Amino acid sequence: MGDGVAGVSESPFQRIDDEVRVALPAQAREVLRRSLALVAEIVAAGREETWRLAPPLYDDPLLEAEASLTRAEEQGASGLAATQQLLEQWSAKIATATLLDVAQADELARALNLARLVLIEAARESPDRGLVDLYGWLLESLVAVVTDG
Amino acid sequence: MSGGVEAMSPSPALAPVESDEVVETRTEESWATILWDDPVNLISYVIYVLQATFAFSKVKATELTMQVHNEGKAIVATGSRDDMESAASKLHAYGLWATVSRA
Repeated sequence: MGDGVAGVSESPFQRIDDEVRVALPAQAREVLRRSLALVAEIVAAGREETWRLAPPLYDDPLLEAEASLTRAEEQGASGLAATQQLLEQWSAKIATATLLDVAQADELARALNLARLVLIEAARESPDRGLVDLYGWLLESLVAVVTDG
Repeated sequence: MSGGVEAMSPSPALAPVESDEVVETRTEESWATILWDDPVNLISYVIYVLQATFAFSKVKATELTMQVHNEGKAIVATGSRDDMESAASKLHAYGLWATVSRA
């Protein structure tokens, strides 16, 4: 597991009782809006950068095959569809989100991490990891205020 | 086996009784959800997810997370197969790598 993000500055999140205040500058919100939408497109296309988002349920191949059949019958769609939907929702919400309840903060943390996992894979061949670092810093900051107290 | 006189059965079996039945000795609780280490998820995030998913205290969530980090994996839940599938699926939804296996 990663140990954290270097170069941390002031947190864009603040805990106010049972809510989290989001104080992101407009430019950062725009970067998030666009990048979350981009990652949602990558997920929708099922590109190889999404492999971390769909782990097997079982290590045993026979049990996994059985579980896959059951999942297909019961759900009709993979977890990737739910991830795509979550990323699209937060691409829209992040532009104006100012106060999050616990459930919304949890959703945002999930969206940031799932997008980050795809961006890490996409950045493997690139020297520029600025977006990955931004997502890591936002996630660390959000988790810190959510678990505070 | 210790020595001594044992009570004798009135009609002792001379040979093991054969049966086609497979006796399932595992109980419904014999399944486990295993969380695996990976090089990308942040430690603070994993601790948060374990607290959010299993209502663990911060101390227990931190202990399990460090076990995953240092030993490569940790059992984070045990129970019925359905419950363990549900738990692993929840961890997947957070982007963590978890699997179900027999305990």
